[in-house]
Amino acid sequence: MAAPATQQIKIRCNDEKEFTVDRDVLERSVLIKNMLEDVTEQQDAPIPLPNVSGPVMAKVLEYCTHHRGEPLPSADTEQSQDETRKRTTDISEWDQKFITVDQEMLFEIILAANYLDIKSLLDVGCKTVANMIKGKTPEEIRKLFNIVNDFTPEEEAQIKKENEWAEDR
Amino acid sequence: MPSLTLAYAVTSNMSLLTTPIEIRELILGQMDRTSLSAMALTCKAFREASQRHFFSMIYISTSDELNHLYLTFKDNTRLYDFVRFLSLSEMGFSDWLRRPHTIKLLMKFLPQFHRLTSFEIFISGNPRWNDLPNQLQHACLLLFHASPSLERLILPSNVWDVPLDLFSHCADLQSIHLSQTPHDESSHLDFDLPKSPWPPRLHRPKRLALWLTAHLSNEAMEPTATHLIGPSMGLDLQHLQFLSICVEGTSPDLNPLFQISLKNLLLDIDEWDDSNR
Repeated sequence: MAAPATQQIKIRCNDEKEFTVDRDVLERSVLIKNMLEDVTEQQDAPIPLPNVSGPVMAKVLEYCTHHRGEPLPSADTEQSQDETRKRTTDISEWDQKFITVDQEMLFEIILAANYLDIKSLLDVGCKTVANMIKGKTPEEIRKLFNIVNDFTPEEEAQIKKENEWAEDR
Repeated sequence: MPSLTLAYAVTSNMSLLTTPIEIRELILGQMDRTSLSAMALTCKAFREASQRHFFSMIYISTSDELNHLYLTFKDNTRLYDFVRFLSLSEMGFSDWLRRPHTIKLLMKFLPQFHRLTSFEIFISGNPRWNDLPNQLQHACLLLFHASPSLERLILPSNVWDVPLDLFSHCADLQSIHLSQTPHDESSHLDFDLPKSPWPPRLHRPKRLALWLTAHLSNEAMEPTATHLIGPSMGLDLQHLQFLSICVEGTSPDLNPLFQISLKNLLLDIDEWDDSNR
């Protein structure tokens, strides 16, 4: 007996790049899942995704394909995950390899995950940035992200004084 | 060609500085305190957001820590509004929270917090609420009045006879966790507040939960019944959907008054579902 055919869905990115993807892969995105649920009749027109470019969507789909079949977080598990993820920066080996991209692509993936409502991917992206910052001095962080120091020496001293109570805690 | 140009424009110049505020908040929410301190010093754009996370959870367990924090906040009163979770704790046999100098400071310090969502006070030994110095009770009251945004309250010490009507004006209160025994994380994972999220979730609470966890002796049951679940309780529990009372102890029988009060409480709840009993 043949396995039931998986429904294929077309999406179109902001650079006109189109993808045809298995529905269960696309449904990792809560945004697309809700859109598909709202559509009662089968439509051939691709779903427009005006906030995502083709190259970024290709990465997002790579992630969704790898994690297909995994349970989506429910409202309750989201809550407990929120609590446990706080200040933990553990990322699985596959996810680490997947997210090893240049900075621009990293922030694009984060933005796309936020727009498409893929919480696990958003977490991976944000944790990756947090890991990049961990252990660095303000100067090193500025250099890493091309940030210009716009503080006066007095302002810097003030912030250091405000934050010093928490040292060694 | 125009679409290619558009695509390039969308994907170019994306960096930490150009990410939307909500994304920055998520990233900062993943950082430890050392990273947050460093981030606050990078540039003006990150100062406030980093410090809001940096000061969101505060644990004070000595008089020196309280003094230091009070002086820091005294010069920068905006920092008070960054605090969401505040824990005051006596460790071991210390009674520092009950000393006159500390209480005097708390009277000035606690009413300045206007955005707290969680508050915890741990008093060592076995004091009842009414055994605490009046001014310490008053300092706590000032805090409850100053922070109507309180959602969670943990009193994991022996102040189990605190009258709940003290919190009746805290409209957002979801959870009151009272325990006569020290906080046992293994049995209260749902209320592992030190790991609670920041920024707080924006959706409205689904339930009003009252948690009473007590290692109750017969002696303790009666005042508990009177103050917590007795008819004079001022807290509106008409829509309570979750109640957990854990009675631990060597005595096999519940105090009769405790039983009657509990039964009356359940009868008072309009929307009580049988499955919740």
